[in-house]
Amino acid sequence: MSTLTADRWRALSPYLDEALDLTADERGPWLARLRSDSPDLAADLERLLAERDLMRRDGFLEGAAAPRRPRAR
Amino acid sequence: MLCPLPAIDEPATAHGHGPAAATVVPYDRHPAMEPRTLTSLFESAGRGDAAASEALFAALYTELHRMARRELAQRAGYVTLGVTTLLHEAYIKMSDRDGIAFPDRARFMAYAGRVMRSLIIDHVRSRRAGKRGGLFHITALDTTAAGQVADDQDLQRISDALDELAKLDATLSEVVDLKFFCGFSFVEIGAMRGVSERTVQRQWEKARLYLYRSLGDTARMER
Repeated sequence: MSTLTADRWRALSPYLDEALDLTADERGPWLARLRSDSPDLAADLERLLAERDLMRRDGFLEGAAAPRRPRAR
Repeated sequence: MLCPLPAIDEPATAHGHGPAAATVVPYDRHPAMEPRTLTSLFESAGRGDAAASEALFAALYTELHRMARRELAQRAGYVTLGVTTLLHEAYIKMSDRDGIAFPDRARFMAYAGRVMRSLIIDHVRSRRAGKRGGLFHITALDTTAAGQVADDQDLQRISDALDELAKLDATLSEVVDLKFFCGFSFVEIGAMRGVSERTVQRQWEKARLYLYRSLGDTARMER
């Protein structure tokens, strides 16, 4: 997927919020409806969601760079 | 003699480290620090004083987690500490730094999170360069997250991408600072911001996706 411009990210952002709150079963019909209204938006979202699957498979940024926390004093 | 904290909250066995590997020297107990204030710590850290950087890190870290614990306790109805009190404490901790104001907790958190990020990156860089041993250890980075964040260049790329993300959506970049660089849970971040755990999870997922794509773009450009 090519680089998203800031404007494109802003346009996609509310849809991404919605998509992330859906179950995998709900997402297909939701994308199909979006595709009929805004095919470009739906295509970008589909690619983003596919990249999210790759990201999760890679375990990207899982864990933390922070040290363990000190005990309450 | 250094004064490491004697214990940690979480069991360390999952990462193969004992408690001794996870020490954070509180700024107010560091022998070289007393009676230094946050102002002087900021100034010394800015001049490249490694001990001051680590003391500053410990001060911010302790304060952030104290805030998180109190906010959670307040939610659970155990104490009645008001947000104003919390803000006041945070403000007192930070406001003696000339030119930086923290009119609300969110801005304190955002600022402190960013400072923590830069301190961690500096620490990792200097430690890997073999210049000195650390007073605290960044355990997860060396173990579970190591496969994904292979070196300090990756960390720097993540940091640069976070700065870009902050221009687009500051809330998302702050979630990464708090989760990845400060080690807060979704529940804690939600409590601090007055939003649901689910909202923080979604923000984290979006932020992570943005960074994943940004790092992928960087890798493609370097090919």
